[in-house]
Amino acid sequence: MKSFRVRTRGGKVFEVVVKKFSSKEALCLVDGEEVVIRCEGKRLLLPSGRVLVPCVFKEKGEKVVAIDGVPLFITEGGLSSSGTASNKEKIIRADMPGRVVKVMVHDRDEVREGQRLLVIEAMKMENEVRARVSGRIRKVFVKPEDRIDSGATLVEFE
Amino acid sequence: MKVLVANRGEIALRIIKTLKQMGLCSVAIYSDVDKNSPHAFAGDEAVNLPGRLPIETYLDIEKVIEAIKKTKAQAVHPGYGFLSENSSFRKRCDEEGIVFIGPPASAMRIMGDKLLARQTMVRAGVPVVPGSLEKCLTFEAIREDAKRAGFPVMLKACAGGGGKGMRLVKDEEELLPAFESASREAMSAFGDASLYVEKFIKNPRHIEVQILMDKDGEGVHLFERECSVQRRHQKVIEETPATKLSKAVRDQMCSVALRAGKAAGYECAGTVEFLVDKNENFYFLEMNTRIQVEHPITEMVVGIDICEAMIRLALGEKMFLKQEELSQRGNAIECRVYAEDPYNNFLPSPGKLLRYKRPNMPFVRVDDGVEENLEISEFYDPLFAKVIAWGENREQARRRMLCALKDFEVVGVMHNIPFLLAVLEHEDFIKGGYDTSLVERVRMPEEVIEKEKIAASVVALLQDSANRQGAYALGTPKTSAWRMVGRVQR
Repeated sequence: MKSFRVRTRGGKVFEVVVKKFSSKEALCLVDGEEVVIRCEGKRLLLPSGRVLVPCVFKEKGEKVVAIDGVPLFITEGGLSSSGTASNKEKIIRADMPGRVVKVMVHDRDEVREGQRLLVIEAMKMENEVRARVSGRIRKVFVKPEDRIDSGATLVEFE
Repeated sequence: MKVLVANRGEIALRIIKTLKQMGLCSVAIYSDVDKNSPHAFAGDEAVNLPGRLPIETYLDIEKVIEAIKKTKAQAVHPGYGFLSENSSFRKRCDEEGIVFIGPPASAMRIMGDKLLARQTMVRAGVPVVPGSLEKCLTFEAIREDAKRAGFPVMLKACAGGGGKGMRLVKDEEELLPAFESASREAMSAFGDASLYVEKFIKNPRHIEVQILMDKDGEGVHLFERECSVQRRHQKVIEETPATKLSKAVRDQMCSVALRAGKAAGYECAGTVEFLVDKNENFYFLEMNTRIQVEHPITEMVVGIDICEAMIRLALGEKMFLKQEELSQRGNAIECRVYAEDPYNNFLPSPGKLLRYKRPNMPFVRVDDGVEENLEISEFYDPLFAKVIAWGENREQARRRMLCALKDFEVVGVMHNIPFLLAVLEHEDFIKGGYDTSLVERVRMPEEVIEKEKIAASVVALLQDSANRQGAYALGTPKTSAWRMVGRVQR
């Protein structure tokens, strides 16, 4: 028995427990509700009669399964294992690849929630990166004109 | 006759298709990033412009001229963006004896210089939005004009378009950061950092008129397009005819648009943009001296290939359309599909298209520039597809659009289709007569996703990892026989 956490684009979270899994059939509990999925190779037959061929891939280290083109983000383990959120908030990462245009803060600066930290240009548009929490910055990892990849650490809070 | 298409993506493909239908030869150009893009394969010939950034490739006048000369193309179609509104490029084409499919350099200079355009329009008796009549090079000049027009004001790039380098400034305190950021964006997008000020008209409608003119200034209009669905000053959904606009005002706007074109000595296809306030007062905003992204909706209701008309007019043909024979039939809507995440503040989302299936159904046209397994690059615009739906009436067009958007399958990048659906389903859009404040009222709907699909996603993931592990367990060779051969030889 394995449990998973499935997150939608909009941030809704489902807990899925897989009770049985074979090459023919799987029995899952989705937020406690039983769902049987039948498998024919890569084709999945749903209880409603829908037939799907999902697309499985990885993005920024996260496992993603697209159903009808809608991405679902899956992590192993139940809801209880999500206690690292506060740790995550300490590091601000780039949501997209691009170029740093301007950096408005320095190491050890005290910032307010919502304060502008830096400006990144991607796809010809400038995007502001703002502080999600108030606090003191431990380190700024980028400088103007740096090219950054998606997921790159920009700013770390204390 | 051979025509080089100096652009990329969907518009390059769209122009090449018309060239083919006209029986003309086409030449594509492509940057290093675009070597696998569909437009690079669509023409009869293709020329690589080495480099990745726009300034090294599609914006490099000399590289484009060289490509035209190398392929012995007689004409160039610039599309939109890049060199399309660059009068120096037009002049270089004239010097080399290359036909530029667009207006003369003089008209481009007037309309490209938004302030000269405003001055010209004021002289021609075309109403303009109150604001600067001279360009502002310094922050002090901006502040002075802003104070004179009265806050709130819009900062705009003198060389601008497409919402780039544009900022709304509510009060004096916001002016400096907006000025700095807008001029940087203008510099990067257009190579010119100068800005000007216009009084901000709250919640206007944005309605534009398509015109066509021959070299003798004989012109027709192809009616209006409503472009009030905008996010960050970028159009998202356009439709024609405009809803709830009185016939008298529509007719007046169309004839003023032709007057504006004549005042600028315009030739070929162009679009005159107006802001319309609640009382149906309209003001000249700017003129786009090129083909517009949203031109297909006009093509759908008027039945004229605007791209073909541009080519014929640029080659010197006399105006072949008669105003009294032109009319709008039915309604058309266009949705722009962008690689940006509507669930995360519309951040650009470049990436590889792992799956890409476009809708293909009656009365729906898709203009796109991508294919499955291709990268949507961070170097260019996030627009990768346009969906255009026609209906005998607006509701039919809207329903066809909803159906088409739901039929899209895009995996690998985040895209704005959920947002487009939310707009199309919004009561104010359905009613019509909406203004540019519509988008602020659109909320992303709570995602409805059946539990069986959630279960299916987990099953697909388990299958995927079982397949991988299974392969190892069964001892399937990880390296192919071809690589083994290589190893033996070494």
